[in-house]
Amino acid sequence: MEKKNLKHLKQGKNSKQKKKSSKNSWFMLMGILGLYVLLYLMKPDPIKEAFLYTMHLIVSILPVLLLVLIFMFLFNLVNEDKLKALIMKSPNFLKYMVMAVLGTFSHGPIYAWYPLMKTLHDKGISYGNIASFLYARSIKLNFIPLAAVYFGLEYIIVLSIMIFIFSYFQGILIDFFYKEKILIN
Amino acid sequence: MNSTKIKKSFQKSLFSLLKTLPIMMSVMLLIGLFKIFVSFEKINTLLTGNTIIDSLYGALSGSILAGNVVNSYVIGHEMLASSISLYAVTAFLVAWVTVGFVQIPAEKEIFGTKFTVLRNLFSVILSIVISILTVTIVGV
Repeated sequence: MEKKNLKHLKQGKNSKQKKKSSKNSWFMLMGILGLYVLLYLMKPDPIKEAFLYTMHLIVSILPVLLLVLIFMFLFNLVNEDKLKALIMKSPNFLKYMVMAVLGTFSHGPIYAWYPLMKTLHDKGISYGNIASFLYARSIKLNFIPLAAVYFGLEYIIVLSIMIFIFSYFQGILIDFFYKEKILIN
Repeated sequence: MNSTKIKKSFQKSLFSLLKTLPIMMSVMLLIGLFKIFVSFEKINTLLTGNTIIDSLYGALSGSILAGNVVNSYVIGHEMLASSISLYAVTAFLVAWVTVGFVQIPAEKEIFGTKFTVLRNLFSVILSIVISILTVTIVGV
């Protein structure tokens, strides 16, 4: 009974925090839009340019958000208990590795993937695993030919391998400082 | 799998994504401002020629600036053409995609302060380590 009450209290607290966080994000957006208006009054041309650049960013991110929505939907279909059990059984190195591989193949800006990562964390993936994913995202497989033109193929291959290896370390470091075990109670 | 579960899962996903939109918009608006007011020329004047200091500056510049990765290649190429060391350029390229000062509010809002600070701090440090290792291995 006591346990149940505690759970309800915790859920109530989480819900309040979520509402506060949502309010803060709207305040932040309003603040930045206010800053744009203020700066526009002083320097209209560069601010217009900044705004147009932002619009271009928004349009370019739309396909990525659609992809993120599909992934979130699929992960929400997954049975949490089964996923937790599966993660529990997997060796640690494999979890970091899998997240790093997924990160390598992901596209688009980093912030577009935050909601999906949050969903995964709620389902039992550790912060370290998320950090591995976010770090490995910096390997841009589709841009390797272009990067090779600018910096040489050998350089860009070594750099990509280094980033992949260190995405693993990044995950270990985060979990070490969090003292968070890969799964969660 | 029943249709109610599918519908609920979709609604939950859509709602979660929509909730993050104001913070994403804020980040993109900040990126727009940074692109206009923090120029490459200004950052270029800070670089000295010292491997460690340049790597650190490269990492910090890459952390402040944000945007499409192709832009980082163009800027990195320009930096090399201006005789800036490959250590600095490598740290810049790695930090550009792994650290994001303008994304910190969004990251903090979703994952919390501790994760955001740790992840970005380690990313800056690791970009310097990766820079030194990469340039040493390639031997340029």
